[in-house]
Formats: sequence, structure tokens, C-alpha cells
Amino acid sequence: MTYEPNAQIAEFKRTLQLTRVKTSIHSTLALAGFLIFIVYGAYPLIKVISEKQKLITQTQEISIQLEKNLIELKKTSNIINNSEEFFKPFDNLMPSSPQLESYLHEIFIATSRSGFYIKNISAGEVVSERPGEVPILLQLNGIGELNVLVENIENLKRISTVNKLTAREDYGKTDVNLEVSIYFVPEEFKE
Amino acid sequence: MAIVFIVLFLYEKSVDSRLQFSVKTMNENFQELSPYSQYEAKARVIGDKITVYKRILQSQEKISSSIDTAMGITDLDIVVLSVVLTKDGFTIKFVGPTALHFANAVNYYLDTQKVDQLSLVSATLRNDNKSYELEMEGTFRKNGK
Repeated sequence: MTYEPNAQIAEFKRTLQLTRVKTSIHSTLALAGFLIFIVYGAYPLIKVISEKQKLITQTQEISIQLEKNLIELKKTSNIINNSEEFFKPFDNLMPSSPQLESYLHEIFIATSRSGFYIKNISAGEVVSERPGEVPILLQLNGIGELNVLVENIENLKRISTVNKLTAREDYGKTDVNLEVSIYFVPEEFKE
Repeated sequence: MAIVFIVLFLYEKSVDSRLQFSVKTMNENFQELSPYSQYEAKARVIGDKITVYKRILQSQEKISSSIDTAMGITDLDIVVLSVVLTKDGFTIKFVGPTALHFANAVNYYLDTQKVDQLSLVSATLRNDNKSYELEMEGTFRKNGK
């Protein structure tokens, strides 16, 4: 075997060159791998974690609000339970449906006290808006005072609006037509 | 890098379990609320009724006070034959023995300060009993006018 320094140097240079190429390839692959890890792995994961933490905060806030509402509702339900008897008469003053029967009873008493009797009574088409309105036409006859009659109707506990009064002399008596509106609040109505 | 990934992965799992717990608590609270929904509806209905009652009561225009104004001429020896009255105005038909009674009626309405406009609809002289039959229309003065 002969010593050939030039050949050894050439071999060394070739190995060095190869090592450099390998190093740069591996470095590039490592960098690419790192970038892929960051872009497609760590960053989305951190984003998901951050979103979930936001959701936790939101659900906790909603839970706190719900707990507050629950406490308020418990208080309100107790109040309503205890005061339900007090509100019952108010249902007659502002019912959820026209409730004409009870109103007719009231108006019969009011007109009788004024010296008039009811000849005819008819209810028009119910307006089921908010508030619901029922037009009523009263035909009366009697010898009482007109202002007392209208006052008695307008002062009924259930609000009654007298829209029009027509009166005419009828052989010593008075024939009266009254157009009255009464109201109710349908339960499905939202203010 | 693997350690970082494992840490992140485990942290994500922990956050996820906390989120599940929070959602469960929220659902439980929501479930607890549902039996009280009827009370909420009841309270809303009562509140609505009170609001509407107050509103109608405040805006109600009573015509009973206008009846005295329209029918006041009966004190002037006048016989009212018919009257139509609304919140805005009135139409009245009456009989008086002389033409002076008509003038008195006009004066009366103007003196009340409650009648804004007055117009004569018809005037008839009845020859049989020498009386005057008149029909007048009046408009009520609006509040604050």
C-alpha cells in the first residue's frame, strides 16, 4: 500500500462536502418539521384551548346569572303564592277574556240604580288586540237622569268607556242608546 | 418538542373537562328554573294587566261631565227632544216657546266656556202651538285650548 496524500485529502474533502450537504438537509427537514409542528399542531391546539377557556368563562357567567334568576324567581313565586288571593278581584276588573256575563250583571245594577231598565243589549265583534276591546250597545228606557246613568256606567270598577250617547223623549220617559267599550287583556299578549 | 406537545395536549384535556363540568352545571341550573316558568308567566300577566288598566284609566275621557253642559238648557224653560253626545261634541234638538229661548240657549252654551263651536242645523216654527223647534250642533273645547 502506498501513501498518497493527495488522494487522502481528496477523500477528506469529499466526506466533508457530503457531511455539509447532509447537515443542511437534516437542518432543513428539522426546521420544516418544527414549522409544521408549530403551524399545524401547537398553534391550533393553543387556539382551541383559548376558545375553550372563553367558553368556560361564558358558561360560568351564564350559570351565575341563572342562579341569580333562580333566587329571584323563588322570591317572586313566594310573593305570588302568598298574594294570589289579592289579585283575584283584579281578574274581574281586567279579565283575560271578555267575561260578558259578570259585566252584564254589573251594568244591570248600575242602570237600575239610575232609573233605567235595559230593553236590549248586544255585544259587537271582539277586538282581540292588546288590550282586547268589546263594543257593547245598550238600549235603555226610563225616567232617570242621563248624567247619573252615564256616571254610574263610567264609574264601574271594570273600566267602561261611553263612546256615544243618544237620547230622545219617549212619552214622558227617555229612550237611550249607549255605545260602550269594555276591555280585557289576552294572556298571550306581550307588552 | 414532544414534551411541549404532551404538556399542551394534557392541558387541553384538563380545559375540556372543566368546560364539560361548567356546561353540566349550567344545564342543571337551567333545569332548576323550568318549574318556575309558570310563576314568571303569572307575574307577567299580572304586570300586563296592571299596566293596561292604568293606561286605559289615564286616557279615559268621561262624557258624563259633558252631559250637564249639553243638557243645561233645560233650566231655560226649554224641552229637549233628543240629544246625541260624544266626547267631541253634541247634537241637540229642543223646543222653546219663543225665539228668545233660542237666543238664551246660544248664550248659555257660549257662557259655559266649554263649547268651542256652535252651529244651527235646523229651525222650525210650529204654527199649531206657536213654538220653535231647533236643532243645534256643538263641538266641545279641548282641554288646554
